[in-house]
Amino acid sequence: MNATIKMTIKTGISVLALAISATASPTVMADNNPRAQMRMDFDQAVKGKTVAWVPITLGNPIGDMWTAVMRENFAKYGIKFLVRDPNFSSTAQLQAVTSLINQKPDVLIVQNANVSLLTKELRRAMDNGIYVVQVNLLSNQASDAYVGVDYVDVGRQIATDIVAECGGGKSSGKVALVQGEVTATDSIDQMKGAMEVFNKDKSIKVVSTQAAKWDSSKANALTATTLQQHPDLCATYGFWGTMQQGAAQAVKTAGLQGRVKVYASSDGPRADCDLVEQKLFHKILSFRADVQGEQISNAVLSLLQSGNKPGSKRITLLSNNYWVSGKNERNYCYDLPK
Amino acid sequence: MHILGSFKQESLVALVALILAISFSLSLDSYASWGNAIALMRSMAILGVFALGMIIVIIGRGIDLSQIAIGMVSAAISVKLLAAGMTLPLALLAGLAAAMAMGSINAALIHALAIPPLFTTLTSVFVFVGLARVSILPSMIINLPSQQTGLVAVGQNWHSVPIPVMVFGACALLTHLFLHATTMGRFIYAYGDNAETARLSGMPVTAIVISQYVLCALLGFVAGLLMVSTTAMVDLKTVNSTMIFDVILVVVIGGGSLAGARGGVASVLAGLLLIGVLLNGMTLMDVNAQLQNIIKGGVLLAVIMVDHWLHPYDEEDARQSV
Repeated sequence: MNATIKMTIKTGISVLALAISATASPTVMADNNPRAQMRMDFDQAVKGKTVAWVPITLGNPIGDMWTAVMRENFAKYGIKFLVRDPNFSSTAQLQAVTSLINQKPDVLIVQNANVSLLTKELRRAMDNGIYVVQVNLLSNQASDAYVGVDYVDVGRQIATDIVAECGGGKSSGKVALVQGEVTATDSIDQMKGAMEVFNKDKSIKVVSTQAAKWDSSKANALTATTLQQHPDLCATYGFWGTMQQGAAQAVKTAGLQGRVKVYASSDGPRADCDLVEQKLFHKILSFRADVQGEQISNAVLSLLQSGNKPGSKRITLLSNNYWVSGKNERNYCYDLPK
Repeated sequence: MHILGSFKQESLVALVALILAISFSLSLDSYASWGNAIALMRSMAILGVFALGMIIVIIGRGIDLSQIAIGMVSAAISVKLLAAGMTLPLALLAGLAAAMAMGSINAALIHALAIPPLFTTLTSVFVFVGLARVSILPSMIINLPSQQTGLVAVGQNWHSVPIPVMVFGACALLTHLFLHATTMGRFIYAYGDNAETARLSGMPVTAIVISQYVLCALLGFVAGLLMVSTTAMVDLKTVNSTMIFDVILVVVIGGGSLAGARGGVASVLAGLLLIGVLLNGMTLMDVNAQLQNIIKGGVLLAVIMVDHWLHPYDEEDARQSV
């Protein structure tokens, strides 16, 4: 008997609950249901927003890959995407950033050409309520987000590997460095990290630190001359894969392929991994521009949802570095979308 | 001074280069070796081929600031077509045609519309590179497909002599023969000396201008291909570099004059020797980039000053054309 009464009460409560839930509006339901609310909040925060992007240049693998990944992500979520190509011109980049700020996008992404060029404009953007994301090189003006490489660490990592392969009397210990532009921060940082490691090891002798100005043809000529003077060179480390391809060809021409280890830091274009597979490069350390493109997109999505006032807080997303030394690591390079 | 004054500028420059080379070999181990001489020549071969094209134009009292752009774009077209599966001869033919077309456009603008060559070629850089980028070269970096071994083989050595050096040698010989043993070559000197007199004497001035700029473009194409053969890639960023000034420097320091009708292949050789010895020595000594610029600028300035002392200013210098 008791059991029957309990059963009846339970059924009654269930029916009541059902009746209440049936009369409630869908919004109220979603308010109480975080799973449904998530996408609605997300869309509300990002849909219809405008993101502006100014790299140093397009038309090179890294710039094109970043742009392709961002475009795909932003299109997916209904974000308007503006791209300006300064084609290596600092003045064109400054003009592009200035005019974009006046168009008041919600987020401005820049790849700094140097640490000072855009500092005032980035400050002005944040003062005007625009989130600022900086890519691969942080300027003297900190901003809402930085996505990129820690180049000092890249220099350290590659130098440590060179010491392991060339140091301790295993070889002549002679190392040649092929810098980019000597005034470029990514070049200066790699140099700093590398020398930190090399200076600690007495068996390593840095015989050349010439600058090839990011030009593969110059890297080729410099390396040919260095190899002539030091045919017993153990390793050459170029501060950018595409530039170092010229050095790799010089090593091949000198008949020293396999004996002189060619290292490069790389953003991971397919050609760099191809050279590793052809044994023209010994190893590259790839920071993968495709993954960086995702990181930049995620930083933008996070900022748009944060509710923070632009310029009030900072986040940093560092790129991971991946060693590529053979065919098995070929997925650490990217193919540009057709 | 009188005896010294009879020295031609190229001899003077070669002498300075020789003194530099001797001082380097006294202070640097293994500097004075066959191997290093080869390395020096190899590193200068590409710049040398560009300079051979430039001297033809400069003798004719012109200048071609678009030469690097023409060379890189036409070589890039060949590489792009190779990557797309075209055969080597056809791809080279397409690059050659592109180079000739660009050279002809320069000549047409300069001659028919009488726009000074400095402005014409300064602006044609943007037109040529821009057109190429929006049409068939969206990417600035074009890698040579690894199965294309033919072109890369040109960058290697033949019996320890770099093939690019041999290509430069052949181009230098042909340019010399063209300038001195053909009527058109002599006409270019005459035109460079006094264009108006050349025209009034009935010389084919249209053909003279076209041949100058087309030959300059063709040698640019050859130099571009040599660059591809040594690096297995084209980087159109080179167009934005200061290389064109190195080319003009080699020509002018060796005795070419922007006033026209002076210099020849010997000037290119002398200029290359000086720049080559300097760069090679400083690379071996691992001199940093800023100091390299100071030394390079200083030596060049010294050569120019000595030249002015030996060959005092005359009315020829007053009529700079470009």
